[in-house]
Amino acid sequence: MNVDWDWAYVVEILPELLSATLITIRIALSGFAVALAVGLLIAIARMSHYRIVSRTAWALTESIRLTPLLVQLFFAFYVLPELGIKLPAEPTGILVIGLHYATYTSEVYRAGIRAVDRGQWEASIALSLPLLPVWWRIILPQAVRPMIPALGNFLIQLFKEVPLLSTITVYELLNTANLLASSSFRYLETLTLVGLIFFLLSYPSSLLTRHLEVRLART
Amino acid sequence: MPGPDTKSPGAAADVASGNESGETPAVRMVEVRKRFGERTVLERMDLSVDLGEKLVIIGPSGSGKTTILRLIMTLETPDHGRIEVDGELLGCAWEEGRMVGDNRRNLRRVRRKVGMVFQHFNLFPHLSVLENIMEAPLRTLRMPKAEAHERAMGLLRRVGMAEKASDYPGQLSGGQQQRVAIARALAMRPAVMLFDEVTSALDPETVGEVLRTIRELADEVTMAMIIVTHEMGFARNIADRVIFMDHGQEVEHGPPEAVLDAPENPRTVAFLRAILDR
Repeated sequence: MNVDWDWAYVVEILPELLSATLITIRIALSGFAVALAVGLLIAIARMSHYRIVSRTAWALTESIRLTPLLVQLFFAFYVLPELGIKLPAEPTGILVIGLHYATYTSEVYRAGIRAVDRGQWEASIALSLPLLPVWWRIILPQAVRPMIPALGNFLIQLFKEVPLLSTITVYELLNTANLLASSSFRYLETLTLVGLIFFLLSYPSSLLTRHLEVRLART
Repeated sequence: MPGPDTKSPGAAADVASGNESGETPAVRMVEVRKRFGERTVLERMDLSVDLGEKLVIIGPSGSGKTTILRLIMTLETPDHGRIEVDGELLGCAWEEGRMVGDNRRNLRRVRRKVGMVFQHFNLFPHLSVLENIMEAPLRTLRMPKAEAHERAMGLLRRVGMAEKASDYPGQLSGGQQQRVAIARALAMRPAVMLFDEVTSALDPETVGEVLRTIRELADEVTMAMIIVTHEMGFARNIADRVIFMDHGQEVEHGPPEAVLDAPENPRTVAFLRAILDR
């Protein structure tokens, strides 16, 4: 076996890979923001007393969760423009990946909200607090704390799926590496670096969520 | 407003209370029935509490006394009957599970006249003592912050908890938490306060401070109080009237010296003996 690692080439492509890494991080964080916001709406809708609302939310999440993310990406990128909805590649990817993960975060929210003591709702009723402050000031702050580790894990998972966006022409890390390699034919260095960058970012994050898990469990 | 009471005029007349003056009672329940599945927890309950009256409800667990409070606080809905607060229908009136009167439009306004203190305090653990008390004046009454702060501090002084204003509930003893919970309910200036076994979850040494706080309130305000308790000494001391409940029904009622010291019904006698033998 003849492994021929070229350090000069590594140094040459590193700046470009790092700037692509920033794009990947940007996509992951934006997608996660979508997942957090939409997931909360789905969770609340699914707990609604109005059957129409809870059923619609349920049907929506099931149809998203039970189809592959890749299919959803292709659908949004190639089919939606034909229906008159035209968005650039990156925002399309962010929305699709965010919606996909919203179905996961909504489950985390639901579990967290259910775990809040019933007495908190009863005290809120006894004080006639309006619905919005009940959610924002009383229920969610208590529900979110134990959810943080689970949400952190989904952020890491989402981050690792950003390369899927390369299939819809987004120049995130993998796509950029591919482009470099296809002109230099040095796949070894480029793909190793991609893997390494993902690992170096995911590993501390997973340590952090595990640490939070332990700390939050204790208090 | 049409309701079941128009079809059963006798119901209200049976209600024993000092209501001869014709004043609107603070709370009135008419033929209220509540079932949980197969179990009837309240059977045709009539109740009237006057403005400023202190009513104590006693009885074995499962007798329906807590359910009365929860119905008045709208934490439960009756299957039958109607509940009025200050002369206004609270939510809906029901006849055999069918709605026969609807005042949900005004539910929030009517319910504001009722305050409740819970057995397990139910303070908001992530908010400071002061924030716990200011929450309802700020969000429900939309009071300016300075005014809400002033009202909260005044109440904290009244329950003897002013020095703990910036503490969190978790840092307080059970008795202190319950005093804060009382101040929180008072912040809405309710016309009726409901106390649901407020000393049952407390360590024995902190029961006294909570009962003393309620006792002082009873002396200084004209608010009606409905108190569910197992503390017979406290009941005798604070009550204008005592009701003994058993199996979802009122078994005996009257002034405390009658019900507690010279009960007529054998079930009341048995219950009081069991309590005193504890």
